[in-house]
Amino acid sequence: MTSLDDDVLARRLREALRAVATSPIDPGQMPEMVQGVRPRVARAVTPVVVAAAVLVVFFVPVPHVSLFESLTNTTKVATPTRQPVRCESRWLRLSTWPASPSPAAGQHPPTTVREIVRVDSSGHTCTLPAGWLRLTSVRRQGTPFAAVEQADVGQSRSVALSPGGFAVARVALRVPWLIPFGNLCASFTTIGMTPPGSRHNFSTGVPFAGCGDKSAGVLRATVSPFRPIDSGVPHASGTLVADLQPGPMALGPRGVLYISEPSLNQVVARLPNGSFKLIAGTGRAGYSGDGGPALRAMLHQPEGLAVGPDGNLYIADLRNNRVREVLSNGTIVTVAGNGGKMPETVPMDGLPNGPALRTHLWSPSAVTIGRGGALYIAAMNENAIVELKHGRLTTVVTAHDLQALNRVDRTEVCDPTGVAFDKHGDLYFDCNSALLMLTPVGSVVFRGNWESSGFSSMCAAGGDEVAEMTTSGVVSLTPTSQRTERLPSVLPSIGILSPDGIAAGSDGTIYVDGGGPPAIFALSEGRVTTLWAADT
Amino acid sequence: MVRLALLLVGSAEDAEELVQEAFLRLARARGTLENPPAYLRTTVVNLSRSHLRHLRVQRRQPPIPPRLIENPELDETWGAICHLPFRQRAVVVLRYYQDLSEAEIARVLDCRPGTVKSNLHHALARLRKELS
Repeated sequence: MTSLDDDVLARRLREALRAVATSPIDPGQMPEMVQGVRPRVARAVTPVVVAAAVLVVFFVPVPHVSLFESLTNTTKVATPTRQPVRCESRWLRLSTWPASPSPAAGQHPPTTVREIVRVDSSGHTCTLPAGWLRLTSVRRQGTPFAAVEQADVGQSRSVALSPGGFAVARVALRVPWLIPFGNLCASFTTIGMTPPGSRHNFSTGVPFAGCGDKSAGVLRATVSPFRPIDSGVPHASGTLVADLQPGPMALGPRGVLYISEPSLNQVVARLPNGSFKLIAGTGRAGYSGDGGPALRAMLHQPEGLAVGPDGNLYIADLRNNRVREVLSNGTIVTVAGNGGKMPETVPMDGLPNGPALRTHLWSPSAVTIGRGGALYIAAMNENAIVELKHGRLTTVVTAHDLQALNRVDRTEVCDPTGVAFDKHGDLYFDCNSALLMLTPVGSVVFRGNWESSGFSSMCAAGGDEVAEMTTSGVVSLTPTSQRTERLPSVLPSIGILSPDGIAAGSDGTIYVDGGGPPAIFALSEGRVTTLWAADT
Repeated sequence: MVRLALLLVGSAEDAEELVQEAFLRLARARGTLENPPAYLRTTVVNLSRSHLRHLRVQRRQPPIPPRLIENPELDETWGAICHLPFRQRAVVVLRYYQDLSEAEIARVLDCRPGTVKSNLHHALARLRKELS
């Protein structure tokens, strides 16, 4: 393993860029997405996989390398229609179905593990050889949940998985010759549950994290569907339709953490006892249900959340171009945006102000409660921050203001996706790779720029701290007295990459999602606590 | 310019749209510009960045680098370039595809030459690690 020298690397870069730039343009080459699989996870773990492969090459005698490589990224798998495809990614998909098509009432159908396949980012699949993976345990909230017979992939052994709640299945990777590492080199975990009498695929998330201790050395995989505990509604409207994929978050009273599920069109809550409860959304994309129970209402890509002083939950319903509110009795209403179609171009000084329900709002991506109980909305496609107060929408920051800063190029749009107030009444929001601040007197101040670490994506404030998320997973904890302090490298070290959600408690605890790996973490004074993760 | 945008966003269709938009803006800004080609290049880079960022929220999925080349070594290199954070990717593309100097890249990206240098350094370190 020698490092590339500068000239060789430069030559490869030149050749690759030239080859791509001169290749025939064929939009049909865009690979199809695999449902339920979030490819950014595969992208994110690449360095780990490479590291794992390096370790293996180092330790394992040469004849075994090719066998192991098929679990990393160099397997060639013949498909009927194409040349051999490099199965480069580390996706795993666990297919199961009930052995009995019509289980007796009250009985849980046994589930057969049929196959575990890897799916690469182009959607190509590689079935792992029989005997390579073995289901070793099924656990629910940390305790054994279902009996497991030996279930080697390809041998279709029966495993009982009960419906309701969710379970964690641990699958061990059997590579017996990797004795130098001690026990098994890796295992991965799936989380999910089986609905009675239905066949489904477990679409899995994270992949190969390499060898080592538990935190760094597991393969994890989420499986669908996930059904929240105590959703309290018929399954047709109360089921989370697929994997739990935490997005933007907000902290409610009494330790309740609200979590958006943008790709599932639902909002869930994590209760202090660790269980999840569905709050809003049927799972189908659309706009309906105002005046009725939030669980029977349709949302369309809910993003940012905020909790009002009265405990009501505000939802930035992005694709509906509206902000919704869930009242404490569970009723959902629309509080801002007329949902109307948007103009091709937005005036630089923002869309017109007006009565909240009769005024255009374009792609609300984040909301927060601010001064005097007003709601502040980051309108992504308007490049504006809009205030909702006394039933009126008023633009408070426009693209004009941002350009006047000279920090935002005039050719550039801002795309705010995060908005938060600190305790001094300063409004923070992100703008491309910059973090900006609107002071109580109305001036916009440049607060930071994390270009090298990716785009700023979300921000949150609580207690003394303002936290900012960047796409590479760095959180900037910014005590108001010393605004440049950051909390470097904590997130990457626990495997958070490209996170989508961040929330702050009044005690300054920061909550983030796992980005790729489905997980929720709490960060407090440099300590990281896992609130929920696929492997419980 | 379409090629530049393609290298930055990884999708030919999107690249064409972005470049069209850049030309529209150029036409609008005509007369006030000292250096239209530089303006165009900066606009394409900025639009590409916004586009990728926008996609992230809009589709909740990152763009997947299309498989455009047959040569596995170059394909791997392209894959690694696609995994870089945007600014690093932009610096690499401008340096090794457009053959711009660090000072020129700094002008395109509207940042200090030192920032370009450090971005390039980090990008190459990451690429070297991924490709070794």
